[in-house]
Amino acid sequence: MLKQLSGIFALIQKMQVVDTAGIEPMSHAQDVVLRLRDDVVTESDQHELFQSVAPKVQAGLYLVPKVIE
Amino acid sequence: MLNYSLKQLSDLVASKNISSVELTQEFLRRIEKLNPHYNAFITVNEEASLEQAHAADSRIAQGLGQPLTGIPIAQKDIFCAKGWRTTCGSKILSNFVAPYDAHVVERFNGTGMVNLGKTNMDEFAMGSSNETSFYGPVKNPWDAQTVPGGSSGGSACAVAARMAPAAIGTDTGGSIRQPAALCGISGIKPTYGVVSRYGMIAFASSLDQGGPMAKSAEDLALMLNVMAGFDERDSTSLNRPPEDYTRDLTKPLSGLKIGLPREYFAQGLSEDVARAVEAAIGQYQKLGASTVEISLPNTKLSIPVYYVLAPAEASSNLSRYDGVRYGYRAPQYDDLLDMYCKTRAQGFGSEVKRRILIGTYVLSHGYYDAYYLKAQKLRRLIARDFAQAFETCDVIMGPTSPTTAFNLGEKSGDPVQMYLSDIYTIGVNLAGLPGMSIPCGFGTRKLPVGLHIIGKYFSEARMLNIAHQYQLATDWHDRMPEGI
Repeated sequence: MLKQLSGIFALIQKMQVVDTAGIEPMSHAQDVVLRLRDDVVTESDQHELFQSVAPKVQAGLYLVPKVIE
Repeated sequence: MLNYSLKQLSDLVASKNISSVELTQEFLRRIEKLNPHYNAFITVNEEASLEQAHAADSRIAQGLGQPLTGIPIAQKDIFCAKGWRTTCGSKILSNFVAPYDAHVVERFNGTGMVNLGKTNMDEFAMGSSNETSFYGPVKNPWDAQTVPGGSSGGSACAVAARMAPAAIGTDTGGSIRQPAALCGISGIKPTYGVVSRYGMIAFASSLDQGGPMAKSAEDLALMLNVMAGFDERDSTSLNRPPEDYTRDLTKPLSGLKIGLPREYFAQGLSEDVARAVEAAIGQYQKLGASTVEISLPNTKLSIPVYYVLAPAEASSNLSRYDGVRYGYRAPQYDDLLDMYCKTRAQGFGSEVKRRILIGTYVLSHGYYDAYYLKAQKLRRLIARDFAQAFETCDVIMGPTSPTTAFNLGEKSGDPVQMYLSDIYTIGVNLAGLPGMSIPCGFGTRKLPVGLHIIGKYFSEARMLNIAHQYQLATDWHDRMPEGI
């Protein structure tokens, strides 16, 4: 795994050859601004359906190993 | 009938010459016969498919059919389909039955189309050969010793082997176009934001796009008409007026200016692929197009840039798989942290782990600027290269893949070797542009070659026209593997 990761890092290092001073980072193709919506409830309570695929559920809660002593 | 186009099948079903049930059964028989050899499908549920087919037949009987009502298609196992096991090619979702439909699946269901089954794919869409799937590799139907391409290898194989008349896939770095090329079919990745990602399991959110895979550009247009369009639930979905992607198919090509990037015809391109692509360009010239040499100087850099950005986004997107709310949970663990670690160590394959590790590293404190931010800046330069090129041409063409299908196991040992094969397709995702691959001939070993077509933002109808005119003058897209 380490050998393969090193190979990938060598690949990534190739980015350093290009000077990007003054270039704005691009995170989206059309530089759009995130759309906002009205603050109203649009979803319905489907927790039984969504929890039907959970590994361990009880009384509407997901069960995991104890965290707090 | 297995070779019929979507339009032909649609007409047959609409005129009640064949029922959706009969058509679906025909393809299910074909899947039963061929899937053991090619492993294109992870999940088939005949009962569920036939139930949809019955409903489609009722709809048609009531005169409520639309184009493609009753037509069965295969769906890459990355799209959540309610009530269907949806694995994303991974062990960590091997028991996940999706409780909701992806937007795209809703659209197909709404049209009365039939889900033929969930196709095999590279795990979490990470791969270019369909060899990283937890469910085993997919074989290329043209030569079962070779890969179908990836990550939408199952969908490409299904269409090429006529197990489905069409399929849907996703493309983050080439995962629709490259398997389409290696399997001799047509595929299109739309402009980023055109197809909703709601319910499409996320790999790299700023790069992922869903799209159709079929035997022809005309079929792709019909599929895109169902798939494309605004969806409120996807924050990156673009709110634009609806389009009919078939509207320009018959326009003549005279005056079309094709840009040929010198970097796409340089060292690393296989001789047989170059010949087939050059012949295709020659055909376009006969159809009235002219060519101009252009340059995309940052082409080589697109690989390191992608392999910083995509893993970074993946490391964030895949952090949700922790065995708490759904999916695989390790059978034994000491405490919560141990549960997380064991679940993910056991549930993810090696390529996924590699990318999560790389992604986490490049986002970490002290490295974020040098890697992630640097890559985002180079991304802008790559997008600018395309913008500049499009000032002198209408569309860009080249090979989709540097070689035809390689042998199973040939590149899977060295990740970087595999990554280098994405050289032509990746820049398109980084820039968010639309890209297509259509068959344009065969290379050595009689393996298919794909022609890559890159268009300006939102020019899908034009690109489909360009592909369609070529397909009227040639028959590469009608070919299918012999003897299967």
